[in-house]
Amino acid sequence: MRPTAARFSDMPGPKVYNLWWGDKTGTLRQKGITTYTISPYQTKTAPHWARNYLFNFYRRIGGELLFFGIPFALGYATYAWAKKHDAYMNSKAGHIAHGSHEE
Amino acid sequence: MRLLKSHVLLRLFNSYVVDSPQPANLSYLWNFGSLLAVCLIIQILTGAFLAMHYTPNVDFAFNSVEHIMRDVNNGWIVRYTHANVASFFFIFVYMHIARGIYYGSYKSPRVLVWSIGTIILILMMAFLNYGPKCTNTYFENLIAFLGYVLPYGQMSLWGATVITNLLSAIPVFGQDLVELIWGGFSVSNATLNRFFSLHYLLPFLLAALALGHLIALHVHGSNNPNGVTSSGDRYAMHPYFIFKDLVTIFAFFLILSIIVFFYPNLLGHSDNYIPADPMVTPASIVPEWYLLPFYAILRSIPNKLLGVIAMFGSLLILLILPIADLSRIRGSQFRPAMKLAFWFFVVDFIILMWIGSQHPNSPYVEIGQISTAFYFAWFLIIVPAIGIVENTLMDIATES
Repeated sequence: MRPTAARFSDMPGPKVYNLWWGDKTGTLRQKGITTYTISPYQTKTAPHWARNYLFNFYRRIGGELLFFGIPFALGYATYAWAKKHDAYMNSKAGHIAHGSHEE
Repeated sequence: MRLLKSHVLLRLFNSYVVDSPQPANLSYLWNFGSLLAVCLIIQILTGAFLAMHYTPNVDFAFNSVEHIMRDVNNGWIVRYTHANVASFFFIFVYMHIARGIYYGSYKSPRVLVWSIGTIILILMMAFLNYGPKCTNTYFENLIAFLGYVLPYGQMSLWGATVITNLLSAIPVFGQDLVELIWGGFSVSNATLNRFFSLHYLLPFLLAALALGHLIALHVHGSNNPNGVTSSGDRYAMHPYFIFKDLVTIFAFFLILSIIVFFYPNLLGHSDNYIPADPMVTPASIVPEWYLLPFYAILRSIPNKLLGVIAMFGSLLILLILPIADLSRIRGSQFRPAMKLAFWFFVVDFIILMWIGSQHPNSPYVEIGQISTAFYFAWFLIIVPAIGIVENTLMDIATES
């Protein structure tokens, strides 16, 4: 008996579209799944990457700018303020203004 | 039928890395899985060679590491590679998790994949850190933790002391538990020896869990950037995705080489080049960079027991994401509010990492406390709230 027999009932169905451990039915013959094959001579991992890096990458990242720009700006503002405040609290002026109980 | 598809073992290989149909629209953010597999293999190989020359004894550990660095042929490459790949391991793990959060990869039907991943993360935190502890004379985080102890330097010893002491916060039997783990009344030879043993053993457990992660993934297949089914457009794993994975693997090798050959101690702590000394406490005890966010969460809560609970809770809370995300849409691609919330979470994580490296003074303490509160609120309030609002707006818009 093959070791996967116990799980055979879990084979591809409406929610299962990958093979279970080495199923014999063949990877490409499942119902409802379309797989395209590319000739190795046509396969390009990063076609036009230099051009895309300059233009498409910039366009796509630019489109997301608001979503990460606002949080990172707030985060950096917090970082800058804390550094400045800590330096002040450890300075002579800070000690005079707030007492010397601060470390 | 080709042997690759009929042989009992080869067809397994075939269905995972040759013919396996993958969504055609996977972006480069789906490359971290293969990078993590490469990291694990590198760590196990370099670790095995290090173990051939390392001596897990408090009197010899530090010197045996220096012996590896100076006398063993190319030992310095092996050790620096092991130490730096550990850092890359965590960089990739964090990116891998962030990808999962952003694209809703944790949602049903991939809850098991997500849960196994969380267990892998906790194990990495807990046990990898024994290594550096063994290298100095003392011990720091569990696999990462276990590894950090191995050189038995100052940060190894005191890191181990701090981290293992956390367990003493457990009521009633905490102190007994800590002494049981130490094998004595302080971090000692017995501790170093057992940390080394566990540091060698646990990566194999990690490898087994990673296989479980893959098996669970292959039941339903990979998620994709759009979050909808990709059954209509797939490429076989080989050749397209194999070569796409190789692009980032070689990029990783390039960057790793630059760091190992030119900046090998960039991510380490200089105190670990001082042999461990139980009589001298370092000016500040700082964990490895990848543990800093969790260290910040621990320190932001004044009560020791609650701090320890919060620290472990901050990892375990990842498990509730599949339940907490109430949105009907998978992933953030078409959910602007969730995109914004995601990046706030990322920034919060980076802030916690920074706070963990600072002395516990004002204003760092307060920033750490606010960031900790935000961290938990993100999972418990923000994510469910965004889901409810989106679903409601969708219902209103489609009612007529």
